[in-house]
Amino acid sequence: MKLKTIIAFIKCEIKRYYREKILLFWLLIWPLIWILMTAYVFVPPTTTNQFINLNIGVINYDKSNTPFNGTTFIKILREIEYNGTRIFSISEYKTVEEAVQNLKRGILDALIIIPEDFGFEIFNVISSVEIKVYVGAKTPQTKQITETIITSVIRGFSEEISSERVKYILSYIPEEYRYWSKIVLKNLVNPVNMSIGYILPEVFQERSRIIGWYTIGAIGMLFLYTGFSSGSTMIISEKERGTLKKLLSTPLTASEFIIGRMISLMIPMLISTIILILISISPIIGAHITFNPTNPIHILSAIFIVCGALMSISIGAIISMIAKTREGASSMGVILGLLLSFTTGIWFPIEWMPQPIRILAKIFPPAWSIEISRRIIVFEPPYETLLIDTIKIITSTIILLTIAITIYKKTIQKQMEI
Amino acid sequence: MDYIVLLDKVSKYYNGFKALDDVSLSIKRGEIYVVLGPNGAGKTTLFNIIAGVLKPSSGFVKVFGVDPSDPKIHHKISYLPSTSILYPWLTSMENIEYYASIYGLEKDVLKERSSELFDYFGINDLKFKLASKLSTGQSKLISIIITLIVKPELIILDEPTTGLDPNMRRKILDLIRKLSIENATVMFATHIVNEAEELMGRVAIMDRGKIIVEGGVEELKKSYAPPSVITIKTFEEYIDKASTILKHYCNDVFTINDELRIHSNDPDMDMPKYILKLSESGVKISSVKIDNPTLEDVFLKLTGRGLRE
Repeated sequence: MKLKTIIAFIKCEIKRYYREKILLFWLLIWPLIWILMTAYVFVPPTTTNQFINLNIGVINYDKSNTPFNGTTFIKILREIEYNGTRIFSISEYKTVEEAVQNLKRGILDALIIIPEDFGFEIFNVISSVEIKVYVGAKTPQTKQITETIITSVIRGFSEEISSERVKYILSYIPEEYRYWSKIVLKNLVNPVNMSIGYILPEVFQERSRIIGWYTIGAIGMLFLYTGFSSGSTMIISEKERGTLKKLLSTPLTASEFIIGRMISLMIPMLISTIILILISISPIIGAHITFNPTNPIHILSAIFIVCGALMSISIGAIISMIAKTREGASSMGVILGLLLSFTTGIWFPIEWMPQPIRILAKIFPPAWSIEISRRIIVFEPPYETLLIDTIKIITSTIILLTIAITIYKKTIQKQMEI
Repeated sequence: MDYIVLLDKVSKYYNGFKALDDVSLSIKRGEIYVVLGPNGAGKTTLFNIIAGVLKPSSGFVKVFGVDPSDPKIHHKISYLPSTSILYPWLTSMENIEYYASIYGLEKDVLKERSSELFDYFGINDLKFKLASKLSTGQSKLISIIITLIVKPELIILDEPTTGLDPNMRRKILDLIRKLSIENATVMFATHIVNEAEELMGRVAIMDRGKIIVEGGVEELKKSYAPPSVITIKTFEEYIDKASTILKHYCNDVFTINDELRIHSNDPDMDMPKYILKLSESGVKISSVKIDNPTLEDVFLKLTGRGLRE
């Protein structure tokens, strides 16, 4: 295939994006809006670590006048901080019904019921206290988070009380037996010692890296809706414009035409990717993306990005088999593209999806290319761990490209027969 | 014989409809081959098959000795379909460069030839205008430049003058004649009689998917048209009545819009008679004249219908 022809196709396509403003919107403005939203809405500038504020309802039945009672427990809850930010917003309720109503309405994340004689029981070394906790769910994700946080707080509080009780009992034990008594008592009240720690990847500790993570997602989104849409309309738009007949009468073979056009569709997507990354790492957005062109593993991530673009155009070819008109194909491409970018782990973490939908990410090759590119940029894994993924992505790109070329050829063939 | 285009019993069906019916033809190098016929006659189908963009349902087609769908011979062919070939977001010049690149035309050659053609048509102001801003006629001119700039051996033009003013039409016909003299083979589809006659090539008259006659313009007229044609113009409300009256005196009475064309061997005798009969019947006449026959009359004689119907 002549390079001159490919260049002609590419020039034609780039000029189209430059002159048809609506395409420029989808290719540049929309991802840019998305990145800005990421930087200022999804990952706001205050973010240093994942932070959550819970609305907690409390009903205090405790009337004890001990030094530590229900009221002091509520005060402690109010003052618990994480990275300088208070975790709980406490509202006190008189009745369970009212608080439960608010839980059901999603106003509260959880309800804590402090029982009668809470203070007395705390100071009574031979009794235990039961705090009732009802966990609500403002969103499917917050239920799990709320439960984890409250469990940790109450467990921590319980350990603190146990420790104080041990100290109190030890004060009645003669000095020479205290050492062994302390060990026995501690093990009795705390049969399982637990400490919660967090080992987060570097990427999730800094806002700039979180935005970087989302930037790769935005590229994936861009590929899906523009790739699907342009791939699905590649032949039909030439036909509707009337240019297909002329092109078929030129010295171009069907394969040259298809490959040339696919490359020309891919180039604006890659240009847009570069612009998106440049904007993302600019001081306005401040994303941190590690890319070193001398590092072969980073080059590999760029290859995976190209594979992602080619695969999405190829899937567009499959869509073209169903759609009859350019408008139909384009709409179907955009809708499917957006839908899959949200459900296959490209934009939202796959862990947020229900189990059956997670299967989609496992069988959807463009999601693999985005996922692996991300992994390279985030974790810089060793080469050997990428071997299987590389084979998977390259093979699926070749398979999808072959399917697309076959479909396009058949479409052209059909045009020549009807 | 050096035939550039050769068709033998070529047919084409679209969902059972026969768009092309056993068409056979042969065109020699340097010939101008005009296909004249009304809309829907099968001209576009025929040209699409010869240009290699459509496969026939049956029959044998050879262009430059091979199947026309073979891209190997496409550098010798330049086809201007009746539909638009321009990309609306590109300027005229960018569209020309785009297609020229596909044909592998060198930049300096492209520059020289495009300047020649833009000068010839006097449309230099359109060079950098977006195709989406061009009128139908202007788009046609740019498409013609795209078709001719590659200097093909076989030029296939499907209704190339649609939307053009008479001056531009004349320029195109002159250019085609010139290219033919330079040994280019030209196929030209039209439904305009004057164009077919002015090109002075071989004319194939097509109707309902068939080539009904073929030959030189004068040869066709001599064989199928009368010596003279009486043209009577009347008003819409009288046209059917006038036609019925005249058919009592002559078999070859044809209606085209508000005009009656009556084929006559002796117009000086027939004309006063026809006027008298129409006047007696209360038909109002707006004009009467005696014409030489055209290819339209050949078509009328052979099909009983006008090309413009």
